[in-house]
Amino acid sequence: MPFSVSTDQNVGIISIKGKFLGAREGEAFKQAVDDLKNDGVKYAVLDLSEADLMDSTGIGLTIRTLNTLQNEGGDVVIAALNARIKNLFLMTRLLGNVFKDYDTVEEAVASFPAPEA
Amino acid sequence: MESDSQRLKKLEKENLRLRRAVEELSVLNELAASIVGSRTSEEVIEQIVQKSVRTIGAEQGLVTLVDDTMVDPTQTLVRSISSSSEHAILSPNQSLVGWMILNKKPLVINDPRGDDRFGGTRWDPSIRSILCTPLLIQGRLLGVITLYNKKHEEGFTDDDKRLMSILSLQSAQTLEAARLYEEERQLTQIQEQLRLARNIQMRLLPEVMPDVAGYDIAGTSKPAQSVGGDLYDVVQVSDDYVAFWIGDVSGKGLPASLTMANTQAVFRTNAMAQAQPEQAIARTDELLCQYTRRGTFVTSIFVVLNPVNGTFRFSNAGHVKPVLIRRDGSAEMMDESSIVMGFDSSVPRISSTASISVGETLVLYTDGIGEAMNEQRALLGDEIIIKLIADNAERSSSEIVRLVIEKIEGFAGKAPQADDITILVLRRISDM
Repeated sequence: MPFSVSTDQNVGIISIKGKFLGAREGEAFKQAVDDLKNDGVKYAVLDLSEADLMDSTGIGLTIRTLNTLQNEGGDVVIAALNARIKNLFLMTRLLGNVFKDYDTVEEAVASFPAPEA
Repeated sequence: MESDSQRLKKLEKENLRLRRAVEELSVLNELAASIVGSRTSEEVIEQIVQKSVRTIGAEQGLVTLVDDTMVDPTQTLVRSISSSSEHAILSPNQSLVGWMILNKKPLVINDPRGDDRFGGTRWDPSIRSILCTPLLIQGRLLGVITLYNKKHEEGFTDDDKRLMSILSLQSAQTLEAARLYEEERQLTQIQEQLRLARNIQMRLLPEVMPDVAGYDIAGTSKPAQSVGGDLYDVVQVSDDYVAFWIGDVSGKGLPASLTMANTQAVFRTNAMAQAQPEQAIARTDELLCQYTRRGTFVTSIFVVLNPVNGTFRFSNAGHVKPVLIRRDGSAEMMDESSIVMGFDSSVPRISSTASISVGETLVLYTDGIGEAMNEQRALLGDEIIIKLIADNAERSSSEIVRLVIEKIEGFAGKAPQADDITILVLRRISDM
């Protein structure tokens, strides 16, 4: 599960490639989220456009990410889910109730309040 | 012509050399013998230090272990054991270790403060001479033996250096063997503990199903690792209250198994108190939210059946939909569901009512079944399993369970089981 982190207008964008299987890279992922938080980033987009598979540990990591940033008064949304991962989010009832999803990263970034001037 | 006195001198010299060789051999032999009796690498190091200090006649000896897996080799000091009776213990010198990491060969310094190679080093005032040898295994540096201050003499000799080189070579091999032995023993211990954990977990799952009049129930759970995060059980509390459930803790292995045990216990307590499904889910959820770390969640379905009339209520917390297979072979997915447990206990829990008639089969399972993977990483899919069950609805529940597991194993081939697999099958066979 290689992932990369960037920021756009003070929104963290975490892009996950391939299999979002949590177990192996979980610690590095948690650290990346904590780093965003410590840099003052409150809002983040999980970009799953290049993720093809996700397991329950992966879902656990998205929940943890949400908790971390919500505690800072922020939020996390998901962008570009494929059908298989979307089904998992629908089954667990986390989509809609907990995570909003957008077709593109741009739409997801635009959903957050504009950064204060 | 050699004079007798010349010949005598030569013989004496030869004699001395031989005696020395015998001494060296006996030292090496002694070291080998004492090390064989040492069980741990700690003991081996202790022996190496003691023997080399005594043989060479140094004031103090020290073994410094190096961890070559670390990025910065000069920061790799792990531990050292020294032996000294009459002097303050000298700490291992980073300059020496650093030099040894680079050069990996024996080193004698008889004039520390005047030695160009260690110009910037601040030596302890008590250090007069140093003999340092690498502990090498196939070119890999395990550590460094350092002897300080040759007793009664100016400094360490070439003979000392040669003997310590041989001694280091032998010591390195013994040390490595002890280390591997320790690793293996630790691994065996972990495996033994996992085996015990697996036994404990298996006892948390039902061994035999309750004999519910008019029903044929079977289930099984196969963890992907020694222990897993799936749970299920069937409990008959009264004539009109049978509770059964299935659950899947996020993650796998030991961490998941601890949450599994907890969830199983709370569900069972709720069943014994004849809780309604939405109550059982809500209470369990509350405890999970309180006592699990962020990101751990549990999907589950809790069902309460009145076996007399076949009506059942179920509450689904983000789990794979239960499937009711009708007499005509059609499969009905039971849609009603709410969010997973362990995330937000303020979410109101719901339940739905349905009923099972004679000849119908209710199937609960975890997503490890539909997501079983083969060597090409293709997924098995739920549809194939549901069809298999519908096609074999006349068979007993335990046969159905066996067929499903065989199907999964046949599909996966040599691919390792990716996720825990659990299935619970309940057939209504008569309306007594």
